[in-house]
Amino acid sequence: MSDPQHPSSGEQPAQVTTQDSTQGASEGSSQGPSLDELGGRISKARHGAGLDKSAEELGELERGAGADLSAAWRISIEIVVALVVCTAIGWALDYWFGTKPWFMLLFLFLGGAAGINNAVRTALRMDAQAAEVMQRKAQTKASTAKKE
Amino acid sequence: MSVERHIDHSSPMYQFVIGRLNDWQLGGLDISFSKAAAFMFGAVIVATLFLVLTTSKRAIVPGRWQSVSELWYEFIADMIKETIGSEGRKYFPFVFSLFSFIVMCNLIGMLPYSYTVTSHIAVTIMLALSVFVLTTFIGITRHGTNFLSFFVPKGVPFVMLLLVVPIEVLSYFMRPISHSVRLFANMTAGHTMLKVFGSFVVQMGVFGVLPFALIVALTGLEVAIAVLQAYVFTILTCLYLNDAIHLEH
Repeated sequence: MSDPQHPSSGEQPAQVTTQDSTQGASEGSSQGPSLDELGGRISKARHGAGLDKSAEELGELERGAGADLSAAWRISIEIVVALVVCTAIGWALDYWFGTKPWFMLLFLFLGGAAGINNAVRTALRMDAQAAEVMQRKAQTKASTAKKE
Repeated sequence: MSVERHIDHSSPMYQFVIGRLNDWQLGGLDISFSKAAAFMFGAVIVATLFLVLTTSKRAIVPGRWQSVSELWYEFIADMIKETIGSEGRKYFPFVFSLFSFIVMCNLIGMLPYSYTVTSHIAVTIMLALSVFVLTTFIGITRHGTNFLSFFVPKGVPFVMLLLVVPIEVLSYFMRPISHSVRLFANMTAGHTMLKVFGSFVVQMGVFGVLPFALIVALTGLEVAIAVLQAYVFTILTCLYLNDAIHLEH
């Protein structure tokens, strides 16, 4: 999904930073630019190029067909796994205690509840994460707009 | 072992057969070096070599290769910072190795003629169980008996607790299973799908161009899924660590 974007985004900061370093070496004395100075320049250049790493990286991962698929997997698997495994546990308990079909029935419902519980929790987390990413994007957009 | 004989070589499931590279027996135990073991070692070696070689210069201004390694490092470091906070720093080596191992296994599995280790639930469930045991251990050592309050949601009337607590406990024990099944199912389904469409190319003759075009697209999608599922596995590990450290859902 990010294949066409990555090579270009990988090259830009490299070019920018090498430029900066040559400038810094000519400006600075024998020791060259300090780390803070360099860091400041890099973050400035990154900001200018519109690359704010972590938030952007997360955003990129959340986009695209693969990401949608994985979101669907992430939630649906919680329900299926809990239901199947709990029913199997119930069946095994029945098998051991000879109480067919009561434990299986009980664990079928418990498993359903546990599955929904996990699925809702996962969905809420994904929601919170998406909201955070959106918020951060809005912030970076606002800050770049201010500068311009 | 007997499975090897039962699966036809043209079957789309043949790619998942764990072949033995030699025949070692130790007191009745089969300790042969398998294809799966070889690819696991391969993933570890490739990841280690890549990280060591690209960062060996330790340049303050990173070159292209060093940038990749730094991005890789920062990706996990940021993930931990965002999901766990500063207390998660201790667990960085664990999370980083987990991510590197899974992403390398998944990506090596995308090479033709290779083998996808993570398409076996035996592998993914051991990874998930190690996370489960670690998080439970951290929860218990950090909070003692207080850890049990994790299973008791706040503000629930006592009568409901009789029902809610078992559900919470079951949910907790379902975690390693869903954690491992998600990765295993994604890798197995994807690779089977590729093989099935691959057999269509051969069977359909001239019209095989159509499934071939689809395979090209699917391969791209699979590479994305390989990285994405490693990411999902890792971020869930972080979330579970966060639960154990901060005792909140």
